[in-house]
Amino acid sequence: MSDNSIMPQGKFSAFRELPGKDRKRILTDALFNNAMYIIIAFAIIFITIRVPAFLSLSSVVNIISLTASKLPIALGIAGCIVLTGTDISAGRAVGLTACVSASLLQIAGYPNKMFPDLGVMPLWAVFLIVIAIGAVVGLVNGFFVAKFKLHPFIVTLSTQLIIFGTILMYLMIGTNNGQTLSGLDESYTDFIRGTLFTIGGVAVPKYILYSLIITILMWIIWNKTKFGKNMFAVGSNEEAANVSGVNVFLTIVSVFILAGIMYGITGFIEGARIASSSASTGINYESDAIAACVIGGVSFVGGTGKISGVVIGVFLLQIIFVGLNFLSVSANMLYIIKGAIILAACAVDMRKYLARK
Amino acid sequence: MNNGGLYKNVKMTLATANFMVLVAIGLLVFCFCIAVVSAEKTSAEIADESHSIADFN
Repeated sequence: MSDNSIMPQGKFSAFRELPGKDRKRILTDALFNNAMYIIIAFAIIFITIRVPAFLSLSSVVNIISLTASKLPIALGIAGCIVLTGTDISAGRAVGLTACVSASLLQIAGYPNKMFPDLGVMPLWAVFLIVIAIGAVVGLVNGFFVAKFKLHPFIVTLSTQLIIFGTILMYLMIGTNNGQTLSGLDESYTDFIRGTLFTIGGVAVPKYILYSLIITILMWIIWNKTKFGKNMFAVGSNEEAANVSGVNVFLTIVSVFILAGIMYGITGFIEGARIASSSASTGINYESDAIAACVIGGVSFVGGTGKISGVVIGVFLLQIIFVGLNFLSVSANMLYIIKGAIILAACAVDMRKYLARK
Repeated sequence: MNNGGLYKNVKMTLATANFMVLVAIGLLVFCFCIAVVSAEKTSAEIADESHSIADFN
């Protein structure tokens, strides 16, 4: 108790003893480095004053549910950003895996069933299939980035188009004829959207638990494994990591494969959550995920980032989006605000790098 | 030692970077305000239309 009370006092007195110029610099740094959090805090206060229902229990559960559904994709992209890269094929990969999940888990006898002769596949089999699809997408991305030293932006831009074409072709298979995939089996929807428990009469969906498990696993991978340490080493300085004996090629490919697996999991969740997958499923998910990562402190400088930061970033972003919906802001304006958030977050990120340098 | 990643070729003073951050955040706040004002306007228009229809009836 006494230690805790002495520490901040000590820091504060040390701060007061600094020359005025240094004090001003520290305050400016703190203000600029946390600018995004400050802006978001003001926005939340403003929205809460305007629409008090924003902080009702059902709204908070809704925000947490949305955060849980978007968390796996953000955790995947965060790894790519740690390697000073990015992945703009993520949204399309989510769309593809959501469509595959939905098509394989439609009710037997559903009028527009994509594969009429196929019964309902076991959940675990479909889960493994979508994870494999995600892993293949990640492998292709990672291979071209690591082997040919291409910028991840270019590689993932290409794969994004390839995946989109694949989705469109996939949706034309059988009797589907490009229609939205609906009529999902109850076992699938219940596994994802079923009630985990009820709090104050508001149902908490099961996928929050899955997202929590994935987050813990990713934390262990990032912080407690050799692979995680290698990822940060390569992201921080590829040449230095190579000289230190890190297999740079394998690390980059593994990070992208892990990201692909995360997209597969997101697609599996989204397929049941939205219950009507189409070619537009997953569109722009990558921009939300990248924005969340940058807000959460996963820097484009490379080798910097925390799982907790990604979770906070996704949560804050969802708060803003839900809040803007409460204010009846049009969907068109939401795109503009999303873009402005990414721009501001990147500007703050670059400023942090310059201040450290 | 970090090599700078995406920003390795960025050469500017901290003051310029601060200015850039202010511009970007100003843009964000501006967009937010426009969004809120346009949403208010839309709600008001809907309310007006409802009143007009009610009056007509």
